[in-house]
Order: sequence, then C-alpha cells, then structure tokens
Amino acid sequence: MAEPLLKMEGVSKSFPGVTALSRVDFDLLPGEVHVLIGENGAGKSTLIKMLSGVYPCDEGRILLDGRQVAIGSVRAAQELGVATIYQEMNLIPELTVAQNILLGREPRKARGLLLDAGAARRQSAELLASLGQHIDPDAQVKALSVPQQQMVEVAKALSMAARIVVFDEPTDTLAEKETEALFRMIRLLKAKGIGIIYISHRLEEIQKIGDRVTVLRDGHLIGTLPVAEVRLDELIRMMVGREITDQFPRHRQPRGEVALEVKHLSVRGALHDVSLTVHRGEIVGLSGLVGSGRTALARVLFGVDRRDAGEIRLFGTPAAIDSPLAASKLGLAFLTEDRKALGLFQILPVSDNIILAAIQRLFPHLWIDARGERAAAQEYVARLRIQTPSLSQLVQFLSGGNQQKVVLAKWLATHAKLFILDEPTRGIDVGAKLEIHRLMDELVAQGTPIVMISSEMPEILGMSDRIYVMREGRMVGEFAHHEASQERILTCAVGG
Amino acid sequence: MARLVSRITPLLSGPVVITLVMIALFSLLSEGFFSPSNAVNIIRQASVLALVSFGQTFVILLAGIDLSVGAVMGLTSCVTAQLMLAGHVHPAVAALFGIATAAVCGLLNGMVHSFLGLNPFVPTFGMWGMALGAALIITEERVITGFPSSLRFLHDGEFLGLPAPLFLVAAVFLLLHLFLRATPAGVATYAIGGNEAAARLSGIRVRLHKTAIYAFSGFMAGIAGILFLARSNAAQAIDTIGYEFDSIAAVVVGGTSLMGGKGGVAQTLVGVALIATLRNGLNMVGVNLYLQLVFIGLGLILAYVSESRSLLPFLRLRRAKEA
Repeated sequence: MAEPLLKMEGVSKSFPGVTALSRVDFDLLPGEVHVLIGENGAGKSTLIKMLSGVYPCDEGRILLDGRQVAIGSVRAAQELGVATIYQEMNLIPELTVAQNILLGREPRKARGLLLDAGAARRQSAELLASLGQHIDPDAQVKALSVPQQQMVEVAKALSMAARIVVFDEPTDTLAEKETEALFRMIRLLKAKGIGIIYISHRLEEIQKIGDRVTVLRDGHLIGTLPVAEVRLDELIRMMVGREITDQFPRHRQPRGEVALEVKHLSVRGALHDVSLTVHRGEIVGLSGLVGSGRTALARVLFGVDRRDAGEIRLFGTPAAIDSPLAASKLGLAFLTEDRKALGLFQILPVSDNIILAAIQRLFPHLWIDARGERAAAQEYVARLRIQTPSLSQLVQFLSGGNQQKVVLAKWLATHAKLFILDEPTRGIDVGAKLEIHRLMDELVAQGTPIVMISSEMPEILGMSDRIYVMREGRMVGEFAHHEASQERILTCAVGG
Repeated sequence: MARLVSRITPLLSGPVVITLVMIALFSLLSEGFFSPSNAVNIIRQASVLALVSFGQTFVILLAGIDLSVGAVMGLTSCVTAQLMLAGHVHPAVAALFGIATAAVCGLLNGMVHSFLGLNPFVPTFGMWGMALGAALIITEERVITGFPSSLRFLHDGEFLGLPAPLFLVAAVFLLLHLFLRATPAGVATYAIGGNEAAARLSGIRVRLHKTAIYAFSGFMAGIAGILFLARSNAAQAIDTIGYEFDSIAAVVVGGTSLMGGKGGVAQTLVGVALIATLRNGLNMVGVNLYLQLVFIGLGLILAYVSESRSLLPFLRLRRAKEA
C-alpha cells in the first residue's frame, strides 16, 4: 500500500455551544478519490475547512507525507499543495481565464517590470489541455459556463502544484452530461497521482467515481470503507442512524380545512409543476437536499420571487402574492433560512426588531408611542423567553438562539395565519431548539398551520404531520408521518 | 446627582467634547470669539448648514449619499431670485416655487436610484452637474441682487431677542427627531439602512420609501437655499457649491454611520455645531478659507476613523509586521 498523502489523526473542533468534530481520523492516498458523506451538520465542511486553513484544529494533528504540518491560513494550505474547489467559486469574473489561473503568480518579462501576457496564455492553455479542456485563455471568466469555471479552478489548483484537491459538492449545479465531463477530468487528476477528497450529497455518484468512502455523523467518524464493498442502503443507515429523543413535543391535531393550496407552480430554472396542500392543524414538512427547490418554493409563496405559472389559494380564495408586503397583508409569515442576511436588523434594538413587521397593525395612526412599543415587545420577549438584558439591546449582541426567537417574535407580532419556517432551528442550541418546537406545536394547536423546511431528518420526522420531499425543483414524494422513515425520505431525496 | 451624571455622560460623545475644547481654545486665541454677538453669528451661519444636513442625514441613514445638495441649493436661490426680479412674483410664492424645484431634483435622484437600482453616487453626482448648469443658464452666469427686504427677515430677523433662523432650525429639528423616533416611517428608515433585504421581507415598501427620502433631501436643500439667499442677499449659481461637502462632513462627524441604520438628526446637530464653530473660530483667528477646507477634510477623516475603529486593524497590522 502506498504511503498516504494526507493523514488527519484525532482532529476535533468545537464552536461555542457545539462540538462540530470530535476526534476524527481521515487519510488520503495518492491517486485516490476519497468520498466524504454525511447529513448537513455532520462535520464535513468543518473537516475540509481545517484542512484548507480556514479554521485551526482544537485537537489532533495533520500529516502530509508523514510529516506533521501546521495549516495556519488559507495561503499556507495552498503552499502545502491543498486546493479546495468550493461551490461558490473563487474566480474573478471580470478577469480572463489566464489572469485568473495565474493570479498573483503572473509570468514576468523585462526583469520583472512587465507582465508576460504571451507566456501566461501559453501556460494556461497547457494546463487546461492537460485536463482535456479547450477553453480560450483570453475569454473573460464571467462568459464561461459553470462547469467551465470549475475547470478553470482546477487548472488554477494545478498551477499552484496542488497535490490534494478537495471538491465541495461539485455536481450540485451540474447537469448529467457536465457531471460526466467532470468525472473524466477527475480521472485525469487521479492518473497524475493527485489525491482527491470528494464531498457529495448524491449517493449514486459514489460508486461511479469513489475509491473509498468515509461517513460522518454529528461530528463523529462512523466508518471508512472501500466503495466496492459497500451498499447504498448501508450508507444511508450509517448516515442517519440516530435515536430520536423527546426533542419533538407534538400534540397531533385533527386535520382542519384547507389553508393553503398550491397548484402546478413553476419558476423557470428552479421549480417545475409543484403542488402542495396545507390544512389547519398541520405542520407540513418540506424535505430534500440543499438546492432541491424548498427555499425557492418558500420564496415564491411569500412573494419574494415571481412565479411563471401556477396558482396559490389561501383559505379558499386565490391569492395575488406579488411582494412580501402583499404576502404579509394576506396573513403569511416567512422565517428565512439566513437570519443574519434576511431576517434580522443587527444594529437595531430588540424592540424595533420585534415590532417592525407588525407596525401597521400595532400603530395604525402613524404614531408610535414609546410605551406601546415597549409593551408590545415585552409581551413577546416574555412569551418566547428571549434572554436579553433589555429591550434596547442591539440584536447583534444576542446569542443565535435568542436571535432566532426575535425573528419568530417579529412574525408572531403580525398575527399571521400561516407560517413558513425555513430551517427554524439551524445552528442553535438544544434548549432553544426545544422551545421553538414547543412554540410551533402551540401555534398549530391554535389553528395556525406551519410549512417547515428542514435539513435535519429527526426534526422533519419528529415535527411534521405530513412530509413532502423535493428533488431538483420537483415534488417527488409525500408521506404521512406514520409512514415516513429516514430511509424512505432520503432514498426519495437522492433519487435512489 | 449620580443619576444626573449618568444621564449627561453619554451625551459627552467625541464630537461634543471636541466642540467644547474648540470653544475653549478659540476663546483663548481670539478676543472676540467668546461673546454674545459672535454666538449669534455662529448660529446664523450654522442654520443653513443644519437644514441641508438634516436632509443629508436621512439619506445617509439609508446607507446612501446625496452629492447634489450644494448645486440644488444654488438652483433654488437662482430660480427664486429670477422669479422675484424678472417675474415680479411675490417673494413667498417665488420661494415656494424654488423649494418645489429642489424637491423635484431630489425626487428624480430617488427614482433613478431606487427604481433603476443605480448606486446613489451616480444620480446625485449627475444631478449636481445638471442643477449647477441649469442655475448658470437661468442667471446667465451673473450675480443677481436687489431683492425685497421682506426676504432678509428670514435670516436677519430677531424674535424674543434671538436670531430668527434659530427658531426655524429648532422647529424642523424637533419635527424630524420625532419623525425618526416615533413614527412607523422613521423606524422603517433605520430598518432599510440596517438591512435592506430584511426590510423588504418584513413588508416595508423599500423603493417607495427611499425615493421619498431623496425627495425630502432635495426639499431640505431647497429650504436651506432660500435661507442662504436671505443671508447673502445675492443669488449666484456657484455660491452654495461646497455644501454637499460640509453637509456630509457634519453628518459623519456627528456620528451617523455611512453604513446606514445608525445615527440621527441629534447627532447631526452636534456635527453642524462642530463644523460651524471650527469655521467661525478659524476665521476669527485669521486662518484663510482654503486652509479651513483642509482642516474640515482632515477632521472628517479622523472622525470617521474613530467611529468605525478601522484604525485598529491598521495598528495591529503594523505591530504584526514589526514582530
């Protein structure tokens, strides 16, 4: 057996309140594709970020060619020959292919005073040709397709003499044919003796491209196996095999009238003929992989994005939802997945954050009396047990769980009649999680139905009355909660 | 007593302290500085700047910028002057017409910025050129003088022994302060500046609101333009050029964040006091007008650095290099 290119021994990483990775071992041989899988939050990205110099490890050591190394920065990782190709590419769209590939290391002439554009063009073309690509080195990167941009990233990695290339969900945005081209290129890299770490959600790809597969779950190493010896259902069990504890307080309600009805909804390039129904008394779970169209659906329902076709009926009447304002006037509430960018006003106090969406209801007379604002905000701070030193505390100083409660309070204050919650408990601690689940149960009991998007299987299974599964912008499955299981949903979501 | 101290201490922010120190310094350096007549003088000088800076404050709270205000002030005073002299229109009507012109300039700024999605630098800088050009055309590049005395009262008049502009500024300040603090539209202004995407998702009419704020900034520049006309008793297109600089400086020095969502007209009032005191003091000490610009520019940069604390990483970087 060849000497491993990379060995990670007992690496651990924790963030305040969470252990992201706990004593994980991982190794990579030259010329090998090592696939890394796990649910969202299993620790895949943390492991990769430690290898690529984004985070330092708390514990454990990293060896390259048997020698222990300290990877203190992204630059250090690059110098050690580790290149990471993220989903969001690190290319500069306005520059040419050659400029991007050789950025910061441009060939010079005239004693280093001038750039040698000719040499840059030649070197880039050679690198791309060695990957079986014929991309014009003078083309602007923004004019390239996504798979071509990926190739440019790989060429850039090769120009830095990378010996380990990490692909972070490279096929998420690719069509089937493009995936084939990527795999051909990966085989060329293998032939050069480069080690490849390949992260993917698509289990069917593992058998096509992988040599070994490592499964992570909740920050722990579950196992590393040769791909030839492993079955798909076995991998799924390894990924999800977790006991569901009593984190999900649900009092099932009798199903009431239809609250929301979506028929044949389409958005070009995102959603294809999507239909769903939500009744009073229900929490409807939306499951599927990241990028499967769940958030796109939520955004259309709330009027953030326009629909190209389809009908939305709310409590029996057709709903003309063309803006978030229209949606909230019709009684919808939308808790976004990204609370920092789309939910919170970080530099405003807790009280303003809570009343903002309900301002028309609370203060119809164009006048906000300070006492009324405090009373309204205090009501929700108490009800949601938001831990804040005062109502005038700026939201940016609250913990993640309390910030999430503030966003929830903002929508509760509107007295919304239907809630769309996108990843309502992502990245918050167990205690706050339980409280938010309790609140959801309460809301449903009071007759307010909820559409919940979640990437956490246990949450989907524990909280939902009915579960829809999405894949590539389509509805591909529907389960009542008693017939749903982790295996069935995941199989449906990955198209197995 | 302790409570009184704790209430006063937060008011002693950087710009307040600097203003107080400057007052002390100029009082030592110049005999005439610390006198009731000079105080009245400073108030009169500051009132034009205060009015235009209030409008600028709203724009900057949205994380925007209005570079057109100086030229729009000039256009206002030239339009008003020509209406009074060439058109024989009543001064009040002429002034209202001038202010309306300014508001339309602001409205155009806002519409281009919000509905075409252009960075506010572009429409407001473009408007600066257009308003200046229009004012020069209207006046045929001349200085226009010889107005009815009723106009001068706005600036020179006294009421209860205090200068008339003080009452105008105080009334406008109170209205705007209450607007920002206690109306849904005021809260929406901070929300848009704090996080525009989240504001839209919270059901705020972001584009409409932004357009209205730019129109308001134009409107305030119009009022400031009329007051400036009353003070100088002469209309000239280029006289008010530079108010865009002073107003942005006053807002930022006062402590309103260029990133939006933080600050207010109270802060701007302090910034205006600081700049007006600095200008007046430097004048009294005999520093020429151009050197004053250098001081204000330097002060603007220092104030912003101290607000954003961007000095820290710079120092840290230096230390890292030395190590």
